[in-house]
Amino acid sequence: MARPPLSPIVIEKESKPKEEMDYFGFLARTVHPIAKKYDMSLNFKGWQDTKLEYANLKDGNYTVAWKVMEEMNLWADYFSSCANVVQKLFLDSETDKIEIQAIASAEADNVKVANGDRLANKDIRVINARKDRNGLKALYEDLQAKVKFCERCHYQAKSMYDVYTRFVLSQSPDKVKTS
Amino acid sequence: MARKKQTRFEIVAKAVNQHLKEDGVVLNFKGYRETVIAYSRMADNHVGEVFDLMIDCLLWSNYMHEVRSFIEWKKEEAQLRLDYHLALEDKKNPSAQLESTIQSWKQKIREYKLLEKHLISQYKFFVKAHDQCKSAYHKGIKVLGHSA
Repeated sequence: MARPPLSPIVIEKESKPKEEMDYFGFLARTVHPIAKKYDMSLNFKGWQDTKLEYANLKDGNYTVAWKVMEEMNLWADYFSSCANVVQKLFLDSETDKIEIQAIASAEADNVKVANGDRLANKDIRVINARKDRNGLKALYEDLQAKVKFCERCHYQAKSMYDVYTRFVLSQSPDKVKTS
Repeated sequence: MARKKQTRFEIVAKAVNQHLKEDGVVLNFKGYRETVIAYSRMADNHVGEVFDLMIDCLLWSNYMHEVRSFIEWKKEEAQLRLDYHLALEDKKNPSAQLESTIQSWKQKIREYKLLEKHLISQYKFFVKAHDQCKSAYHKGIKVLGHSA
């Protein structure tokens, strides 16, 4: 059995220390400047630690299961609220893109619509608007998946915790009360 | 020693990896094969192993979705580049070099799309595998509870 790679992306830049991250981190890093334009900052500090705790969860270790259960539930809530905000930014960027595209198209060719639309794609304003929209869309979809992932982790930890506390409780009730 | 036969998913991932290398990013599926083999050999009476596999499958489902979102983004970026080159096209004076660039971007988009589909399938596969492990784990725990 094997776990997926933790930090598959390595970014090396001159005069900067090597950065290692996962695909989600890379996407969040790419979208960060876009979100900043809309006065929003993205912060997922601690997520890797929680994911690692879940990855190292062992059957029967119900004290760790309790912690994982709690943290995963909190992350599910956090990712969900982030997804909602990012969705709003994504929809706004989609509207901006349509507006900019329409202006650029009319400027490029105000007779033939199809030709205007084609030529608009080399306009830097259209390129930037499309880039913003693409980044936000990808991050939004990943955030939605993160919510489901956290919920599944939470239920797995919860079911293991339930099974073992019930078992311990049936063996020695006092032990559970004091732990 | 016989060479390991690659799956369609691995072949497509390898092709896309070549495009990503140009941007300094690589796809890494180290451990994927081992997890699939462990799942195919899973015995539902080994509760501890089933529990570990349940975690692995869920982590892989999350990983596959992360890669999928990343590939979808790269596909959209490639579409942007393709549209840019199509906008440069002069229908009256066709350029062979520009045509070749357009074809190359079209090919990249096709491969990104194909990989995206494979990644969605892989994501679904690991979610289902996780659910199956969950059922096996609960069954195993019940059996242990009765025998204790």
